Amino acid sequence: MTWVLLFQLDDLTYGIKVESVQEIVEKPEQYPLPGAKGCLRSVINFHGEVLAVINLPKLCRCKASHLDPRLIVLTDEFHSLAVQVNSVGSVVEIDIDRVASPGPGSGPPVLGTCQHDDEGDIHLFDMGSVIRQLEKLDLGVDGG
Amino acid sequence: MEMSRYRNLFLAETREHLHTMNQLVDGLEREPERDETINALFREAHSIKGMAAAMQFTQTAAVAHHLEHYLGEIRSCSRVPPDVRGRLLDGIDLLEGLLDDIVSGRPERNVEKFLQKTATCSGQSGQDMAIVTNVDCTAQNSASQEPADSILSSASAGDHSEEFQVIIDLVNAPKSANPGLKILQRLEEMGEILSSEAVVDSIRQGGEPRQVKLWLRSGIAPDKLKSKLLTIEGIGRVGFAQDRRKKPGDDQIATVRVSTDRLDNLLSIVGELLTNHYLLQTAAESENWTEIPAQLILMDRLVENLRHEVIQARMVPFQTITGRLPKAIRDISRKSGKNVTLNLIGEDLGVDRVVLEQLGDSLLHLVRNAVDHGIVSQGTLTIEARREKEQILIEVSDDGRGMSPEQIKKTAIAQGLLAANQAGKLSDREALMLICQPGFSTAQGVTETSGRGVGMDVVKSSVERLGGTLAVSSALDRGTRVQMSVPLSTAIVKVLLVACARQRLAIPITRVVRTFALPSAMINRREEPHVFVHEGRTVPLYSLAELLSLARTENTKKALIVLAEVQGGLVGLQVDSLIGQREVFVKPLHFPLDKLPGLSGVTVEGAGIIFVLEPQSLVENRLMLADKAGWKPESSTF
Repeated sequence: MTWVLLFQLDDLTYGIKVESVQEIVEKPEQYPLPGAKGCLRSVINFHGEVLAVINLPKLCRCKASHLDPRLIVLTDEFHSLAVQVNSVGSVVEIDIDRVASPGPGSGPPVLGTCQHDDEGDIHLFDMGSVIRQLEKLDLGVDGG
Repeated sequence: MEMSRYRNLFLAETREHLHTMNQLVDGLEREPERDETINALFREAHSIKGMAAAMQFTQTAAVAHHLEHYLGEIRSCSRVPPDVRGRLLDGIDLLEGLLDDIVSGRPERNVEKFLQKTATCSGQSGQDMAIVTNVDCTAQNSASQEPADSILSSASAGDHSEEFQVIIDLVNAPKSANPGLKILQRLEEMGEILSSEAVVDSIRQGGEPRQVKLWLRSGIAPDKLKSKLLTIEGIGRVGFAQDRRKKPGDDQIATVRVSTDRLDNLLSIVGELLTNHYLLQTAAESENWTEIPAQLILMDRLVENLRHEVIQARMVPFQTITGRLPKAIRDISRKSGKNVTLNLIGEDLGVDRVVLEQLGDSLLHLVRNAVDHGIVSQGTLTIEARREKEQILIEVSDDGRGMSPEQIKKTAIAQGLLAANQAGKLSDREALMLICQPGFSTAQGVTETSGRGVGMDVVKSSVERLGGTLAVSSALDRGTRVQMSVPLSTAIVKVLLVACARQRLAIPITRVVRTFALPSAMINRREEPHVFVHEGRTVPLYSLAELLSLARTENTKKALIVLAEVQGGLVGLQVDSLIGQREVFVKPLHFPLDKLPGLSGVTVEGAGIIFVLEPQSLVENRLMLADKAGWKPESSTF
């Protein structure tokens, strides 16, 4: 069994392993990032570290544009990022052995999908894929 | 004992010993000093052996013991074997490779074949000696099956294999397909699987993971790896992540030694600051306002002293990164059959350790370029470091064939990096800088040591990330000189604070020539970019807000201009207001912020965040975008 933090992108529920979640920050002050475009527009001061804020709905080309004022700070061995989502949910336990492979689709990257008694379908979010997407993105100044 | 606490100290000290050994090996060729050199090498190997054994790095200890014994044999039989230098250098290479393994968290590589291969002057094999020692060499042998040849080659300057994470998504494959095992087999054919024993074991025991994540070291390009993997039934997707782990060498200067005198000075300044704080507090409480200005002046002086002492404490000698160069040059010279004399100047100069960490690879690349493409059959390579005001200048020059600006232009046109009509407008200096364009190469072919890997564009980016500049000068048949100018310290930087579109921004003061208000009528807006004349020179003018995609500044009667130096030329940056000079503590930008052009760092001030700009890459980014859009500024400075 694995604990995951739920969040919403469009009308779908996604989960990310709690080990990857460093903190959920309540309405932090966001500072505009000069020269950025697309899904990366601002930064936050997270305990003295300046972290990029990634607009996940925009990066994943979601339709819903409203954003939860809370940010999820995700961290792995190499990266720390603050992500914006449509809505931050609760933490639930899922049976990782019952996660089915993801079907083909062009939506947000997922590792698989599982059925939860209360939450319905939970799509396990693939943060690694997002990082790889960011590594390939041209985030530079677009010349105004 | 908790050994991990001492790991960084062990790495730093062992690298120092290896640095000394590298230097001593050169002295073996000087007859009168030979005995003392062998004694000194013996002591260094002995020290490494002791430390490695205490840290339980068994393979490292075994190699160090082997070298110690080998040197002991030479000392006792008073006969120097003909290939002593080569053998010692192979051993030093191997020890450096072992340290890289330790830094990367990998199991130490297997050294058995090295021990067997290298016999002493008495004919005793290294393997025999390894048995004599109490060091247990067998424990790690099963963890790594790397053959000795690849051990030696991976430690050489010509190794170009890379480490990356392979992420493989498995789809529902028939059990008989067993994709996990096939993936392992295929990856093992194409490279070396690193430190993912749990995943590997799980697959080997019949596990059926939905995703396989492995670290792989391979010389094969990721797209080729991907196409080979995708032929396995059951694989849905293959992705790669760049290696953002600690790299070998990251820990090389992670520690600095600070003299107790310096620490005493720091303590003394802190003591004075405490007194100063107490006097200010007392003056404020008793409303003794006349006392405050004098105390503030004193505080200013103390803070400046503190800054100076802290910067000095971060300094490490330039030789920290030049120490490996003699050996690298020997290797490259040997491969290319050239006779190269190395001339090192300013090795004792103190340089900020962060600057050295950033410039290590760049310096090695410049050296390889100079030997490979500059020097013809024999010549001198000079590396000089010197201080000029708040900057450190590092020059790499050779007396080789030099470069022709005209030939560079032709190559750039042929490689699609420059339009023919643009080439005619470039000065010689501007043409030489074309070698720093991504993808540019004058090499007729890729050699083992240069012509691939990091290019001049990467060298230039490394220098600019530090807030420095790179300049190239060359004359045909007289040689080439590459000059890197970097700030004295990257942590505490003097900046000019400006405001643009209600955002505060910092420009390193080393880039600012002057500031002034320019009547709008003096700006020629018919050109793109706009230009103005300053002391008889036509200078391009950019709106800083526009460069940064911020709201554009309204035209006023007078424009506030920051005249900045960019690649030896001048550009004007129009800002909304000038706030003033300040010393700030600059933090590096982390992914993905480090991908943004024009930003070199960030400083946190109170509740706010101020980005430190890098004017050169900002302007270059603008020119690149202009190129893409199909127009080239008529009056570019470079």
